[in-house]
Amino acid sequence: VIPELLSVVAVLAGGCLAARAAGIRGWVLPALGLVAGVSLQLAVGLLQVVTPLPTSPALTLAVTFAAPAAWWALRWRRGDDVRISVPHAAGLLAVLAVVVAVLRAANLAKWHTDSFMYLMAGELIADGRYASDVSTYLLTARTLGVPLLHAPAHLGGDYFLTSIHALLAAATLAIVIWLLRRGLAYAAAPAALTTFAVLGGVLLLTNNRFVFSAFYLNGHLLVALLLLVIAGNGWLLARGVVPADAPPRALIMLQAVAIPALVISRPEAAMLAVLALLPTWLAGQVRARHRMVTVATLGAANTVWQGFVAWIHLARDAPLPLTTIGSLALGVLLLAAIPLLRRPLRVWLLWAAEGGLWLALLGFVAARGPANLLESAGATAVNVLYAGRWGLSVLILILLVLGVLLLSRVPHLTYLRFPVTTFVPLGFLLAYLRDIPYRIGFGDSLSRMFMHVVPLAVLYVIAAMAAAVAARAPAVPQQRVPPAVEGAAEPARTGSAGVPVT
Amino acid sequence: VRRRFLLLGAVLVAAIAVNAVQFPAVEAAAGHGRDAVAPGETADLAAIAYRECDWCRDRYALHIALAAVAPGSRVIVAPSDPYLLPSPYDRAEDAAEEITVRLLTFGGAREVDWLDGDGWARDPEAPRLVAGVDPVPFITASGPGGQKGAPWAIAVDPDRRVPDLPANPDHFVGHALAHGEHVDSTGQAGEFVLVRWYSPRYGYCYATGFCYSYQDLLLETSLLPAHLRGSL
Repeated sequence: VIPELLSVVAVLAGGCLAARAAGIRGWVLPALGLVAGVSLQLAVGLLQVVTPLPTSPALTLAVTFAAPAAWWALRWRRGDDVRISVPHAAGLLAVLAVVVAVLRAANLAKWHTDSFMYLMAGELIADGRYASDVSTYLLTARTLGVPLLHAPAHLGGDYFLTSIHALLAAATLAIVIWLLRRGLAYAAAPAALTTFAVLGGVLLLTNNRFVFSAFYLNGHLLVALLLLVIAGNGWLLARGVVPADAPPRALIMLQAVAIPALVISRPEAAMLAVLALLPTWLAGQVRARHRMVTVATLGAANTVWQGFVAWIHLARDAPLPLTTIGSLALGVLLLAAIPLLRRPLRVWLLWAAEGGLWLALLGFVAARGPANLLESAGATAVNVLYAGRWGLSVLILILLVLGVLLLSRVPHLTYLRFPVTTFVPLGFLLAYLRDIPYRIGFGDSLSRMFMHVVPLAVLYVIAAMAAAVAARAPAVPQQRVPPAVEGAAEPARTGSAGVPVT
Repeated sequence: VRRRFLLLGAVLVAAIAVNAVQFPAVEAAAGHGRDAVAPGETADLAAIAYRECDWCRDRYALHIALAAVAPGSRVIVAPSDPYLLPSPYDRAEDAAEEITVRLLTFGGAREVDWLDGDGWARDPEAPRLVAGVDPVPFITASGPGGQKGAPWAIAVDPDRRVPDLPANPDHFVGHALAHGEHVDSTGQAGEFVLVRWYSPRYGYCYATGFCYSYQDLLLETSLLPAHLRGSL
């Protein structure tokens, strides 16, 4: 229990200190702190793996805790308000200890065959032999995020941390509720917000596969949480809402640290990140510097990781996979596109991107034949109905999303909607890119990948419902980002220049 | 507005009700390890792999056994086989990488070396000599394999002290897992060679429907003839 508790405490405390130093406070601090901590842990681990630094998880944890602690101490010495309630911190620690002890005693770990591969890669990292001995299959198909997440378990002689996915699930629930309450704080009655927040939380909590994901040794829930934070924070920033408990600097910091973590958590995650960030890049309300920071972070993280993957292949005289070449090109393109983000992109790009995904899918169908798509679609239908172990939960969520799409006319919800609806063509495109159609059964990739967008879809649905019961069209007071924090404000742009902000 | 609020709230409540009502049925259909909330019997990954996951047992049982018999060992993988038949050890890079990873992680090996074309593989006597060693009297641990892996065996030097050796080598891994020997073994590190042993496991096809004309054999190098040992 003790080594796992120390590992989780280092990640959570480091993340909370970073979040607190950035200005986050209130009940959401532990949830956003966990996101920050895990993201930092993965970013530090990425640096260790791609450089000659030792890959010991002890070093990862030390930096994950010490760097934010130093930042927090610096701000505290400067007299900034970064106070932390000692009783609350002690209470959180006590709860954490109980959670770790209970979960370890209950052996609540869920798996399928991929889980073992992730955890073998984690052992290679902990042993300092990842770069020399990892297989190219583990490198490209299992990537780095989940192995890094669980590598600290080896400090205690285990293969995995029993509690970390449950903590990520709790953070996901809390952040869905927080995002709804902050995103629509001025647009819906508090009672309606509270009601829909609670119902949204319960909708997630009664979803059998969401509960399963809380103990599942895989990266789907991690990806879902990072995607939620990236898209959700983009939504808040573009709305021009400045939550009292999370200033823009904190929202930007969370987006920026979540991006590298997402990139290394799934083979297709860079594409997911682009789709989650694209609405933000189109928004005139979001500062140019922020848009450029996010695209630079995504481009750099993706280039570094895919460059490492390519280097390992070349060093072993192994053929470079097309997906690696494509991902590397995407990273370089993103870096080259940084100057374009000085101005918000045109809103039609959003439609072009979504239409482009469908067109690309049609292109593959035309070039390679429809067999892959037909087989994938058939298997997916069976998985949604029963074989994926989702019960009717995904079907219900699809119907709710379709209902909102047809009946809701709230433009700012595009920030939440876009990554959800583009997931459909992207999913079937991936089947062509890997050249293997999806199959019937629990272990099917797409069936498991649904989890990536489930929390975001729930947020989208309850946000649309909460907005729909506002007496009038939402009227958000346009609070500007303080220049002292963000630099000179850009003129607000709405309508044709960007996604409307209200 | 109030009517809309009640209507939308009712829609969500209905969705929640469906989720909640179907939860036990989904749980029952998912099966052990894939259900959402049923506690497991162990958090030991090797034990989960061996006891609860057929494919994982096929893939990793040999390596778990090695970790119990001789953790920290050097493993030499011989790419040739006595009949020059296609083999995962014939430097097919992806298969070779996976074998290395399994030996280093579940197998607890200190070092994995792949023999190149020199020495062993070019030694005209090597296949005959390996084929000439009868490992049967020295087999300490073995398993039937299955869909994802061939039958396997570990043959050790008779002087090696093997912890709590059960009479039936097929029971070795289960015994080792029960006693924690795979994580905290009293066995000593050694040197092994991994070869494809063309000796079909008797009766195997009839039991599982998957047939292999060979077994994956980890042979302690001290069992090899001196001439061959010298070429490693």
